[in-house]
Amino acid sequence: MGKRNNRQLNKIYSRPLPITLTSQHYGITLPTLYPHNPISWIWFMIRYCQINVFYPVPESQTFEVHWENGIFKVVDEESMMKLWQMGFFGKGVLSRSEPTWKERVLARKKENVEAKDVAMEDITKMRREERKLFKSSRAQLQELELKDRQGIITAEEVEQLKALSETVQVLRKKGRVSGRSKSSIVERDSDGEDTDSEEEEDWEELAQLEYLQLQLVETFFLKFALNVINIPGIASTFDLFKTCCYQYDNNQSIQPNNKFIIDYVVYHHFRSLGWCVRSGIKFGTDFLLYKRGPPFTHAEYCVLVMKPDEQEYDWFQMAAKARVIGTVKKIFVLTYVGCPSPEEFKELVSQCEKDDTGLAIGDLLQQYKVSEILYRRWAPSRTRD
Amino acid sequence: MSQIDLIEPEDELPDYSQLSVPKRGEKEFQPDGTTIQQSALQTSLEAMYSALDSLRMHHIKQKLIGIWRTEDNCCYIPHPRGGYFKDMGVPSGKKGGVVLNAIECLYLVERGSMAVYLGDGNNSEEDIESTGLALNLSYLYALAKVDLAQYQIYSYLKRLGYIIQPYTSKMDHIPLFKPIKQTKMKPNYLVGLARNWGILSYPSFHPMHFKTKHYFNYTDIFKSLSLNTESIPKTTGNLKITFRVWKPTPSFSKKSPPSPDFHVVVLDTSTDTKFPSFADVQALHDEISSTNIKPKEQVKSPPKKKSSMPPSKKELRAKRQAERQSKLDQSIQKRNAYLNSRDQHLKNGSVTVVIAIVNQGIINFVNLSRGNFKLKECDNLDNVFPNKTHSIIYNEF
Repeated sequence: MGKRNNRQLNKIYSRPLPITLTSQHYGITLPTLYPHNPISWIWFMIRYCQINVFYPVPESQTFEVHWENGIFKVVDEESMMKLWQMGFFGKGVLSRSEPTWKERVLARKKENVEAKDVAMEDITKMRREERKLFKSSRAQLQELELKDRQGIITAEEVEQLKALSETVQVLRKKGRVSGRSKSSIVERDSDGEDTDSEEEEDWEELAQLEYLQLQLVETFFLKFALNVINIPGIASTFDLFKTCCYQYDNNQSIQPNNKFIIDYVVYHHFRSLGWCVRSGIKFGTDFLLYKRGPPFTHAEYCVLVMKPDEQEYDWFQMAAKARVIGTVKKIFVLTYVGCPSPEEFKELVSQCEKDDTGLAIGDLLQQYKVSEILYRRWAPSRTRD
Repeated sequence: MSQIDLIEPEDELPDYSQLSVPKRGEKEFQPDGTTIQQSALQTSLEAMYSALDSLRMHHIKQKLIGIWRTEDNCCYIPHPRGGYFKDMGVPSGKKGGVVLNAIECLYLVERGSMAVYLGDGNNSEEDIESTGLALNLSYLYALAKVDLAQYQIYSYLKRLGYIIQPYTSKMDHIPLFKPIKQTKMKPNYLVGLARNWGILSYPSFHPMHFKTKHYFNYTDIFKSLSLNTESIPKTTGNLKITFRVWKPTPSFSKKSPPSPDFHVVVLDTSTDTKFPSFADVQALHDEISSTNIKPKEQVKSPPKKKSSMPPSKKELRAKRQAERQSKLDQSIQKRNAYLNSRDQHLKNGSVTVVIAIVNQGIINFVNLSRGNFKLKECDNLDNVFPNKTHSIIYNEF
């Protein structure tokens, strides 16, 4: 069961970035290169040239992003789904994270809800109900046990006690199993929608009210690093850069320690290392790092962006954050971003004005320095042996 | 790696369900008026009282006597006895005497293991008991100049069994980092022509990059996205390492100690609660990594099991995991071992300093490690997959 689950997930989320590989598009690969075998080099070179000359580079899909009221929105249903599936970008405004609102409404309207159509949000709900039931039956059981000890139990209640203790046992086991295994990951067949076309017909006109909201850093990453989005009204990468920076610096002159730039440097740093980076606001930090993405594993790291020349936090705030992060079994990472000097920054920004290709912004961002510190509690009584 | 694991007290306890007698039931929070509960409570109370009731004393041969030297703020012990001097004190004089610093002296007196006398300078070592002035604990506290925060940390760790010595800096100076200026080449006309014909691709971060370059896997894309950000250059900090700490080891030698398991910085935050600056922490890391020339191999021998204890849940889980692993294919086993050790590198970072925060007598310990998300200098990873870029987390095997 678990395996099939994983295989399906792997199929849906096979691309960590919204970029189409040549190998995926044409089904061709470069031959393996054996360092000790010169013939393999020659064959590699021939294939390499062949592919470069005869195959055009596959075009990755471009997504339309709208800039409205200080929000970057994706409204097209297919784009929303693709951006989520290929790199986990954005958040559905009516859902927990994956834009599933429409799917959930449709599922609720159907007579027979099959397990595979259950959305993540509903799974959580079911689990909570189960937990509630367990707690109430346990309380009842304890009450009866007390009566038993006090010797005021009736024969009827003895029967009840027996039955209850069995249910509690069952529920307890169940809770453990679903808590530990990954059954919280829902199977969702990618083409499961088409099977019940009859019932769906009535609801086909259900308007999509949900849109995908992108964070500033996500939008800029999609534009600057991958160039897979198109924002009407914001033509060049540098325009987008300025728009994002002005969200924090309203005086129309960008400072080297602009919050957007610093956040973006950290976001890009971890994205380029292959992590799936999402907002960490729920844990009081700036970012969360997932190994592959939310459907696969829990986030493993919580990243707090810090400035090396400012002491923004005190021990109390840090301890509070660390405590929260520790209880959800994540590791707390303080990521410090060192900025270039104001003169250097000014010069690089003026370079960006001249060169519109994004390369100058790359040069600018390269001047930022990143160092991490891991913050962990130490319990001396536990590390002695 | 036990210091790394997240705190999970339940895992450490033996799995009582394996034992027949002390089965854990639901916890009771208030008296229910039954004799069953009352008697259970009474038995455990009695067990505690009887344990506390036995007489504790010192053997006369083990009597330890120290002479307080006010001018040096230390204590001289002419005849050191007992097992305390494995890590405490510095040898002094030819007759085998030992000098303890104020913290160590205070600790032994507070434990009731040593009696300290104050001489007038002329007393001989032998008759100090009759001619000197016996110091009780409160007098000693008044006399000894001790940083209370440091003493609290010292005595706490010492009582837990750790081996502790004051830290002495051996460092002369750190070579400061010099940035290397990179010169960038401008693309010339020919390159532009080749790009127009679709033979050559545009560089990373050019809008045309992904439209002109073939990629066969995502690892290469991630590599091309790297900004090659450097680490923040070295500076000097204001914090000092206070103690070197070792886990309890029977073979510890004061003369040639192994490299410490922990470096502890004691920080009194009663008045200033600011979190240390990056430069402070970085300087501490630099100091530790420069003194620990040979990083200790983290080979952990399996802990010796107390025979009577049933295995803990954690151990059972590890055992089951190992069994499952051994059934897998060789290449998968190798890959899993690689991924595990990569995770350990990420989790542990490269250098760790312990900050002991004392806030009006309350102690809190924090580990600050240097992050190593770029996974530099990880030889054991190179040994498994030499050509892999370890730092890219997205796996394509």
